[in-house]
Amino acid sequence: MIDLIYVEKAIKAHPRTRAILERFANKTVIECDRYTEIFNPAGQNFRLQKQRPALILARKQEGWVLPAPPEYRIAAGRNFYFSHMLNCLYDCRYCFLQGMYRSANYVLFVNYEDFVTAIEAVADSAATPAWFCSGYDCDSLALEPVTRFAEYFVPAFAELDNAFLELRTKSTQIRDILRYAPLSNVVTAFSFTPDRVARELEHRTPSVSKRLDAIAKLQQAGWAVGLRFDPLIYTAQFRAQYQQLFQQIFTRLNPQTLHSVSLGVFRLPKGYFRTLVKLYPEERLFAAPLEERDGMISYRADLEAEMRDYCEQELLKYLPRESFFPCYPESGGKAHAG
Amino acid sequence: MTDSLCSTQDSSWVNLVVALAAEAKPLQSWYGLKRDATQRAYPVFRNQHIALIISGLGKLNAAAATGYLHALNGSVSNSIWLNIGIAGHAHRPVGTGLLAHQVVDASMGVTSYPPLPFELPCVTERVVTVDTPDLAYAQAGAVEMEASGFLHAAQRYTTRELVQCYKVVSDNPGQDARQLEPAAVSALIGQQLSTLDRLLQQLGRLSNELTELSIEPELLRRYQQHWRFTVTQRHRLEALLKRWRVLAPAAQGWNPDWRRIPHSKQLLSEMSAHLDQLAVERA
Repeated sequence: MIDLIYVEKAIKAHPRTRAILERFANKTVIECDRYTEIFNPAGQNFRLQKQRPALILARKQEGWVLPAPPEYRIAAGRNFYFSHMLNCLYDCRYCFLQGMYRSANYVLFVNYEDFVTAIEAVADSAATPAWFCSGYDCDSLALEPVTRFAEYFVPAFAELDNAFLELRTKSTQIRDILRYAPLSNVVTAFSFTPDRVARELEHRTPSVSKRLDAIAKLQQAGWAVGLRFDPLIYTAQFRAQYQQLFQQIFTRLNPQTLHSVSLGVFRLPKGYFRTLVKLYPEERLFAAPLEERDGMISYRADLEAEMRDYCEQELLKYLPRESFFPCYPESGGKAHAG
Repeated sequence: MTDSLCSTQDSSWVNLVVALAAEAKPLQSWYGLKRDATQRAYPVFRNQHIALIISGLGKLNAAAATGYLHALNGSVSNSIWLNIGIAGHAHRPVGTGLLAHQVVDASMGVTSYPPLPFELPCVTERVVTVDTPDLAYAQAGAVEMEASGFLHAAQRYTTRELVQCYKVVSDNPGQDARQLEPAAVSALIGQQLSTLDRLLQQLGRLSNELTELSIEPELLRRYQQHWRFTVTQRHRLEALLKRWRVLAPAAQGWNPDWRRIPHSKQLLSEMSAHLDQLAVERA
């Protein structure tokens, strides 16, 4: 529920701002100079704000496209990410955003045109294809009815020869994608954890079966789809849980038509982890057998390897190896938002 | 204190800062606040959960009184801070209650945005703090003299979500501020008490949520009776007790066997190893 909308004066007249404000006609609108005045001050509590986040409409002034962190790469060659939004509609307890941002308010950068210009420039700067991931600092599609992000970016990529788009999501908001003819350079990647884990840790997200329904619809329409098992979450029953999850997924989907499948481990920078534990000390995930390695908090190395090996082995029962992408950074990895 | 506030404010501490005795009067009566006779620097009133201070006019007085009240109450965790007072407005009717969504210090040019992550009990408004009374009504929003000083001080003592400013329109171009009598000011604040209750209930809920995450002081005292902890060790102990509470709530954070351990350092180390083991067993 969004009650308050902050709007940067500079983008007050932007057509996208106007469309969003029309949608929230009876809400309180507050003008500001820069979104950082609301988003950045110290002394805010993410947990409290997550109960009723405000929406901040802003203009991204620079850094529209950034090099992707190693664990976020989906293909060899050039990998980038871009964030039209900061923070997420969902409330996944493992998400690094809770540790990174002081505020849980949603920041939406409405100047999509500048993102696309930057993407074009990066794509054209070399001959090798470039991948552009969305969903690092937010879920790509969760707020689609408000943001109309896919509605704008999907057709924009239809015009780009050398650029691929990955939308990372747990959402079922695929209507705006289905409005278009399928594009070979756009992949919608859905994140999964086992049902029980999702219920405990991925608050406000659609169930695994609803996500599968959305994937099936995209596949039927000819869209490329990816699966992301990231982060892997350890429980004493993780083998049974992941086995069941893979079975549930591959009973429903044809593995041969999947664009890509990746695994990622739970990993958070130490500072973010400390913030998360302070915010949610009652959370079982943070009381788990975790340890610090090179400034990162992750599962004990033996447990991590056990999970990774087991899941990889199970996945390869269903998948051709060429569509499997393990994402195991030696360092620097984080559980992403989407 | 009203019943509704009693039911939701059980563990949170509320600090009210007002500029005028006339603003304080209805609050004293509504919440059953008694004068603290030991305080001479400022008039202070309190009950079991609420303290109210009368700061005098202006942002400097508001900031100083806020600091004074904080020092007086000790560092109560997750306390609520609320500035209540009258304000002028260019077009809002007299008697309108407003929660500040933006506080502008007109002379300093500094703007703050109190986070409002709760069900709003009333409309929200821009609040402009001026240094001298402004009867021109040229500013957009509610114009008053304390909010920015209060906010700047109180945000140092608790999380920003728990620091709010509530203003009641007392004058506008049609109703001259110079005609305002103390009784009228009291009446204006008095008409807002149920809205203030609702606001304090919302803030109390947030405050309680944070307080419930802490380790019970009684449990910490129990440990401190047996071992001596440095400040760093105490933080570590609290972190371990929280983890223990998650992994084995039934244990209630205490193992009588550990009384054999002579030193706090060894205690923390054994506790940590025990929890690592539990974490695997109970994952």
